[in-house]
Amino acid sequence: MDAYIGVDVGRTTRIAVVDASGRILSQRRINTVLTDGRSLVDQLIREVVALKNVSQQTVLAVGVGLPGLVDIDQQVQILPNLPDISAIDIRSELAAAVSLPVILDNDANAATYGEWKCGAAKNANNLVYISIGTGIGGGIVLGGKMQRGARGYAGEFGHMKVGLQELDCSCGSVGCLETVASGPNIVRRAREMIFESPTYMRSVLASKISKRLTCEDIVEAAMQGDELAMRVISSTANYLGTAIANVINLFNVELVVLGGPVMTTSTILLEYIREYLKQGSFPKLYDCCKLVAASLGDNAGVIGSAIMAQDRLSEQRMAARG
Amino acid sequence: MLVGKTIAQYKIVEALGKGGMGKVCKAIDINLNRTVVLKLLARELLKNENARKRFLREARLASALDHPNICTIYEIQETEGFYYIAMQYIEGQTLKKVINNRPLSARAIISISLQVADALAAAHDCGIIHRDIKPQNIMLTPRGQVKILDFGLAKGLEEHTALGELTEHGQSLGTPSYMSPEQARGEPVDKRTDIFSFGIVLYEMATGRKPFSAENNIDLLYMICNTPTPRILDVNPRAMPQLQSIIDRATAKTAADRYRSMQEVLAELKAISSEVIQVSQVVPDGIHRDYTPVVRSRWRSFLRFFLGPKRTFTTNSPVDNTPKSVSKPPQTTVEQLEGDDFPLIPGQHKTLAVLPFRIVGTGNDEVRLSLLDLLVTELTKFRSLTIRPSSYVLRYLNQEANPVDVGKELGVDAVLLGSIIGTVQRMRVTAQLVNATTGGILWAGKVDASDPDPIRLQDTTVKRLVAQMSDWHKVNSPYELLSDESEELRLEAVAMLKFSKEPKAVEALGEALYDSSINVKFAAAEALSKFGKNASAVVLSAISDSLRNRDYTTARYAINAAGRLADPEFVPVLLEALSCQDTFVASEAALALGHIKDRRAVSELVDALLSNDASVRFTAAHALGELADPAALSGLTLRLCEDEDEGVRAKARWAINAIRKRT
Ligand SMILES: Nc1ncnc2c1ncn2[C@@H]1O[C@H](COP(=O)(O)OP(=O)(O)O)[C@@H](O)[C@H]1O
Ligand SMILES: [Mg+2]
Ligand SMILES: [Zn+2]
Repeated sequence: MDAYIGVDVGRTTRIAVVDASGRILSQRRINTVLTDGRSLVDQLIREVVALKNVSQQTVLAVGVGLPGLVDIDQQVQILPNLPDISAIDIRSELAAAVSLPVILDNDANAATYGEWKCGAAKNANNLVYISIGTGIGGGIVLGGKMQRGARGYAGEFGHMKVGLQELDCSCGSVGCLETVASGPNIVRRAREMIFESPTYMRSVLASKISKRLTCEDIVEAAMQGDELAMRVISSTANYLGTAIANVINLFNVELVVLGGPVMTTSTILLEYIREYLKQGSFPKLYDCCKLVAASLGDNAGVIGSAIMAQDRLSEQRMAARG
Repeated sequence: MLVGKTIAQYKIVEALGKGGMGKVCKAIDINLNRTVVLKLLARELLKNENARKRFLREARLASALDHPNICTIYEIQETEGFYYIAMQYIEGQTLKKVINNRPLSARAIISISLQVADALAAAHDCGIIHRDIKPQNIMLTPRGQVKILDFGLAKGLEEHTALGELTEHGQSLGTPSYMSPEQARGEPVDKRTDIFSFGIVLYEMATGRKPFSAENNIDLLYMICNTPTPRILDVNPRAMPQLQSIIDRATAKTAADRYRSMQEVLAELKAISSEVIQVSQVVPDGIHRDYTPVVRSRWRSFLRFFLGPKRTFTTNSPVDNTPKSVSKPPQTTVEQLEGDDFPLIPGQHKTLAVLPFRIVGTGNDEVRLSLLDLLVTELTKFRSLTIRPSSYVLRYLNQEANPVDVGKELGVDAVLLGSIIGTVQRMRVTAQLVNATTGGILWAGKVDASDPDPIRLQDTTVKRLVAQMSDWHKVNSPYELLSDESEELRLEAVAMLKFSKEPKAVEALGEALYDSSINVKFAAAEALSKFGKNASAVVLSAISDSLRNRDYTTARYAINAAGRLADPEFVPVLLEALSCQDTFVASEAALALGHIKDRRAVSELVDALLSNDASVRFTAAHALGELADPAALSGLTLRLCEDEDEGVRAKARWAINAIRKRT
């Protein structure tokens, strides 16, 4: 059977063998080497080759999603949350090592592709996908085509300006959505808020601050009615909802898909976002747009990059024939 | 015979009666040597295991209620054959006895209903429904304090009072007179069932009778479900008409048509309470006399804040019917006040609207208008007050205005209203200052004056009224308030001291850091920061003392004050606090060191990045970002890459950016 390898690089990297219909046949999850760019790439190549060699399927191509800017010439420009690899030609190195065509893309684009071809956005022609995790990324499909922009960087949803807080962003700008609404920044804001008023000492989160605190903890507390947690969730939703409203007003999309690790914890954030979205968008445009949770969960990235590799391969074959 | 017997540590001394649930006796708790009431519940009442469990759970839940108007439950236990509930012994009488088939006075009704409503509101806030509100379950102490009995006890017995059970046995456990329609039908109930029963009790206080009565319970239940509540004025022509609308809405047949919460009832009762005081009727002796309401929460606080801590809103001063001669000097002369920045409302600026006073009997609008102008002019002398000009309030000249609505319309904190009775040479003016948010009375006063010259008469009247009003502030010292039992007043005292120029304010605020409430501690820390260098010594010793005594809560807020003061003098003691085992002390110390931005702290803060405590790592990263010392870069980069907590990673990234930007 024909298969494709999809890779989703992050703080943990996932590598999967995926069939032509988007089904995961086997997969591995590894802790990414964070010491330097060279070691990171070496690890990536090693793991992909290893998986290809043990796979019982005939792997035809490899797709890699990376959390940063990947240009149309397949060059990684910036990985804000990972060691710098911009000097390395990953695509060529990886292609040579596995002897297969390799395609690189932004991780959120890959996940968008996954949700679009095999997940919650199947059959939609105009949609945006937004992933909320360590960073905030997005992908845009308009008129049935993935939109990449002039150099391939389109969809940097996390760097829309929404906040009143003028915090420095990893992109070099200030006040980006990501500086307040990404997973780490949600936890950061909760931690800060605990010190802002004695009323928050009643929060369950206050009793947990000396340990590891996660977005799940906050979402869970919010569902129990914890005031601090609800404030954090509600303000996060305000930022996200405002940003999504801008997108809806701009593109008149029929579907907004929310994914990424923060969204998989519960629907409470989604419900809050819906409220702010309603407030921030043109009613007519809001009415014809659905806001849904992603359906592939954290598999969207690997599935998407594998299917993307598959589609690219068939395009190339068609072009060669024609 | 139970008397003389001992159950657990309780020695029964007297049988109080046989209630619907079982026997009620007075007993002595031998261990604690206090009088209690024991309620013994026959086991048959709780037939099945589920009902029993539900009863115990509800009762235990209710026993956690802590409210001055709710009888405290000490314990609920099970012994052979029965359950017993030990509760506070309340000296006094039940409201049933007090009513004794006669209407109560307006004041008594207001006082009692305010207390019952407040207790119910508090219980409902905790999710606890009484389900059996009736005069037999409301006790009144000789001082007029309300204590509600049997909270949560009706739950387990519910099925017995449902209609089905009643028809079967032909009689009920108690009277269904106070049941809500949904309760009578045996449907599930929520807090609105208490609102209904409360309305029936209110009706009974106003008329001395129950609204529904019938030969048998079946007919009674039918009436509860179908007959509208009769009008109180038809039964008692002297009843307070304002109660009618509250009763109507509280006793609506459909729960959805009732008040949504007791808070709403409470607000309306407070609004009409202002009018009651105006009606200075002669109050009968005994329990029918003037009750001293337990005025609580914001309301009392606002009142005291306006007018001083010692006075409560009851008009304890008997109404003086003999006109005083004008020559008798008022307590404070207006001249004394003039030109002085007279803090009618200490520390805070408030806005006030004076409504045109009502004329009782004969009189003309000219008197009203000139009094209004005079009052506005006189009150404008208080710089802490902003008075709405007369022109704003003229629209209320010929309409009955609700002070709360006026407050909203004019955007004021308080409204002064009143009435004028009299002739050209002699007049009596009564006035009330009403909290425009809650409708509560902040102050009420009266002036009788006579003068052959009508202009001088008005002048004197107004000046005396204003003098009376301003006199209230005298007892209001923030230093006194700091030791008030009410947290809210202590907070207000702190807010007042914040702007004080007196050195002893710093001492007092330093003391307030040791307050039992963290809210007061926090407010004190904030207030101290306004004093700059002058507060350092007090804060420094508070930190050292509390750290030594392991009073970490105080230490934490004292450190918070140090951070706000940002005096480098604090660095050594903060470095000591940074290694404290208490998360909050160490974290606040890190934050404070970040504010002070003293290089001496860098290396210890970098060490703190390796703490086992995530909050300490987080706050240390924050402080290092503020200090922006490149020496922290490698430690922060390590946090960014491998801290297990996302929040710490986000903070480390921020700090790294901050340092890079600076260097
Ligand atoms: N805590 C108490 N303090 C003083 N007297 C009480 C107390 N509880 C009950 N009583 C008296 O006992 C009487 C009978 O109690 P009651 O509450 O009517 O019983 P039940 O609710 O079981 O019908 C009350 O009317 C009241 O006079
Ligand atoms: Mg009772
Ligand atoms: Zn950005």
